[in-house]
Amino acid sequence: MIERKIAIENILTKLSNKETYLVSALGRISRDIYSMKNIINDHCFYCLGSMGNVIPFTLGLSLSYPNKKFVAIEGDGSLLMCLGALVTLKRYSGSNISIIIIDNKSFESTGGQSSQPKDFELTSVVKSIIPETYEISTLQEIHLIEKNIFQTVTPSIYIIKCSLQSPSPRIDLSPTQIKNNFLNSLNK
Amino acid sequence: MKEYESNIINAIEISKMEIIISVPTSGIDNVYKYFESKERCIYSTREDEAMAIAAGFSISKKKCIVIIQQSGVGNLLNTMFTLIESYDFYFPVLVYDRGTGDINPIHWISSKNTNKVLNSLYKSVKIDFRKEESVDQFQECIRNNIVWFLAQTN
Repeated sequence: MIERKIAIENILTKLSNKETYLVSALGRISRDIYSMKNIINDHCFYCLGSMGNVIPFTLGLSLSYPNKKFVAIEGDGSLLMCLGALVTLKRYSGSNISIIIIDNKSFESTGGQSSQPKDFELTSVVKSIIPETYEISTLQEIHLIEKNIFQTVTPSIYIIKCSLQSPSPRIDLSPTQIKNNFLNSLNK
Repeated sequence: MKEYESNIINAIEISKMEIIISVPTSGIDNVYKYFESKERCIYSTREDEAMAIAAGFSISKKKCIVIIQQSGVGNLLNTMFTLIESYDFYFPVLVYDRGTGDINPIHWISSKNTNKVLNSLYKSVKIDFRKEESVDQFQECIRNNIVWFLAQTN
């Protein structure tokens, strides 16, 4: 189990060397990434809502920009809201998209309510759809992302087992500012 | 191919939509066959998923259209509010209205209320694709950034 902010900081550092564009899930994930924006500049589209839309939105981006690389950073709760999107991802995506799931088994932003039964194996469920799925439980294993991401012709998924942690400050950008910043960085 | 299917294809082509994204609706099978044969058709598992894919695709100003059945409008409203409207994305959504006279009675209330919901929230344009002029009407609406189209074919 990794502390969420430490996991995210490590992920961003690994991805910052790869000219990667991110889409982040609502709540604490987007807030954490925004608080570390010096690592990734404007390479992130922060969702402030739209629960369950991160993966399909990133798929659309990856189809629109086939020569750029995209990573969706999603939470386990919002992934469970859109499991069908993984099937669509498998069907239509190229090699320029990957998914990272921050799995704390909780709806952390709304108070930490449980998002899964105790014996639920999220990794097994995801792996049955996308075989290139890796579970990461220790900080040392995060290097798997740097090593494997974008190395296959199909998308890979990394499920990071994280603990609950206090939130980062709220994002002080409007949705249209977020979009315009992201678009400017995409088109540079 | 039915004439209204041909008109829908022409309307989409003339408006230079690169792809269609759809939870399939009945009644326009040949439209799907046409775009599938050109590898310009993406089937999604839900209507909100289709909207999110379209948002990502359209950020680069590439054109796409979402095609759904009226019974799926309820599934996409949250995505419409929190992604499409909030972040100011534009792409058209063609809602195939099964109508209050559909052979399946489950669509009667759905059709009536979907029309009410859409009209209470947005400006939607009804297009009768049985008519040849529907192609020009659709194209003109796209020029004016109309989002919602209710396709009527029966």
